[in-house]
Amino acid sequence: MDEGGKTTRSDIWGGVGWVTFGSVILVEALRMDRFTSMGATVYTMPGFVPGMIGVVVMMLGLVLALRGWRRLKTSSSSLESVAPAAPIINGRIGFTILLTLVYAGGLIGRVPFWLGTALFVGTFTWLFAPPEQSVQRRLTHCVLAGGLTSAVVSIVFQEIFLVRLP
Amino acid sequence: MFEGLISFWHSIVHFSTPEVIFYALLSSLVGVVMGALPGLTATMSLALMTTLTIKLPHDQALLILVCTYVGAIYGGSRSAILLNIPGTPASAASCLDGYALARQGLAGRAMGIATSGSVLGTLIGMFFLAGFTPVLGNMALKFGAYEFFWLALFGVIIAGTLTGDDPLKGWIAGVAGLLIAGIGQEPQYAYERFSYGVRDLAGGIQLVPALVGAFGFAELLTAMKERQAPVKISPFDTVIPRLKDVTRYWRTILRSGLIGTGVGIVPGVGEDVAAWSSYAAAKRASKEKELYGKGSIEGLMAAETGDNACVPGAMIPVLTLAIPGSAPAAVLMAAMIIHGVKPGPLIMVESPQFVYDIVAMMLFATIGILIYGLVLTKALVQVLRVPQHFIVPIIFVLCAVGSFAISGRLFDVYVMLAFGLLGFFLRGYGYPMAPLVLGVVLGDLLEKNLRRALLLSDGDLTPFFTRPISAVVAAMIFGTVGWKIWSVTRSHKP
Repeated sequence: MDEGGKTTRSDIWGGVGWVTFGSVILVEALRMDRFTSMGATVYTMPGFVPGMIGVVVMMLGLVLALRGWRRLKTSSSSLESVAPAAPIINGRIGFTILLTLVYAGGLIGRVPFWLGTALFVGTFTWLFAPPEQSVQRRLTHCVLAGGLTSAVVSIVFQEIFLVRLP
Repeated sequence: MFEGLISFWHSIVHFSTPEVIFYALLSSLVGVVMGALPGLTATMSLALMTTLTIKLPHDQALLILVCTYVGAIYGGSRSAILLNIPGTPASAASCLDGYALARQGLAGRAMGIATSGSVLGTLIGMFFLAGFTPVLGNMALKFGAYEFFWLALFGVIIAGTLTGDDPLKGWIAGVAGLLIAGIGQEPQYAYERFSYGVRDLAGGIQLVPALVGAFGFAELLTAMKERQAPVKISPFDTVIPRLKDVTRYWRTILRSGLIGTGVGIVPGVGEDVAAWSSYAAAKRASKEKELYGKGSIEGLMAAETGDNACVPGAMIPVLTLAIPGSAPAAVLMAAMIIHGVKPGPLIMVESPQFVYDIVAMMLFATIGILIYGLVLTKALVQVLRVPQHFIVPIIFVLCAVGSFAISGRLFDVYVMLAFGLLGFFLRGYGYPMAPLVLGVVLGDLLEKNLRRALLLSDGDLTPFFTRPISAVVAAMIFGTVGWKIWSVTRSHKP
């Protein structure tokens, strides 16, 4: 099913993960209240559909793992087919995730919205500006971007769209 | 026929106020700009705009969303032609000939072709939206729980099959979406599933923050992976579409419009498949096949007509069956529900005018993209020069504020973050997002109808396969899955 032929070991581990996840869902579904005292049949029990989905996830995960294993076996002589793919996460992504988590998970709701937003946008702009840019230019951009975004978003949401800000 | 025309006229008159026209033009512009920026898709634009328009009256909010949708699909062609980077996945097919034309110094003409193809594609799709929806709506009144169960499953399976490189991973993503839809109180006994005592989870995962995360935050992370190369846009010739290009390829336009609308009607497929299908069909029928990929006007016209015709097409199953035809249509459907509009088989009974309202909204959007295509192209392409490190944090702020705006809960911001990270990693391992979204949207419909059908038949599975429509949809599902398994097995034989 992966016509591109780029299946790597990650499919095997992914398959194992999905089988485990499906099993957990199935167990959780079986543990749910069955409401038999209220006349529930097997089809109306709350765990019926999640349980079925859990089984389907397990089956699909098993197929994924078996397919990955078969491909790994048949192409073990070819280094290219089992070569690890490019890493999903790199330094840029890592910093982006860190900044977004600090802003949305930490600053929002704890400091005034305008301040948190200005800090986030300013820091982001500073960190990801082209390295060849002078410090003065970078600083100007970061202050302008942070300040303007914070002001415009606050005004647009609160005054035009009448939305309460966190 | 005439009743439909009169209703359509009423809708146009209803929307022809300065305020609404301003909204329509502004939101089409927002759509074009967001669609043109690589990394910001139509689904993301719609999810963000849904959060922004939450407090507006429902007709104005939906008008803004429809115009954003049409604008974003059209806007993707700008970066496809000028930078060889599709602004949205729907414009990937336009890169082939659009960029080739641009390299020959014909970028302006290519953008003119994209404008005429997009406008005509939307108009063809609108014609079928207005004509088919009442017919399909009346047919849908005969659908029962069995049919709706199969249709919901069909949407997930087809989206999984066609929207990624690997159907198996697409199906897994779709099933995971169904599971996410099951979080919170179930419909029959209000029993809390998978909430583990978290009060905010008892009401389930709100669709819009989840979509903003999966399509907004995840896309921003993907865009940040590489440092943006300096953007070089060569000067281009006139962007005014040539009548000759339209009259010469009228058959291609008509065919692509029909294919695009047809693909739109199929649940869960979407604009990118519509563009590629139209492109492939045009190439097969063309007398100038050798030009395809080297700057074929016909190829670009086919791709642009197909993807824009898909937009009204995707609205047909939304309105008649409450099953979205594409990922952006899924967001639009969620927005309709938030605004108290109930799409589904009863729409032609309860609010038939609404169908023509949507057609009128499409018309306003088409006028918007025509104006921007003719007048503002040179100014709009300057947006492509804005550096990534300015755009990404601003869009993320909108993702966070928009998620909060839905219900005023910080919990929804965390949902957005969680879905963004989940979407980013799943995407990185080759799991497409469209089936996941379809799964989340259709999970409730699937569960309710499966349980209802089994209750009605007392556990007997026969009606699932013996009722005529049920049998056809079931055959299509099993046929799709079987065909994929067969084709893979065959390809592995020595």
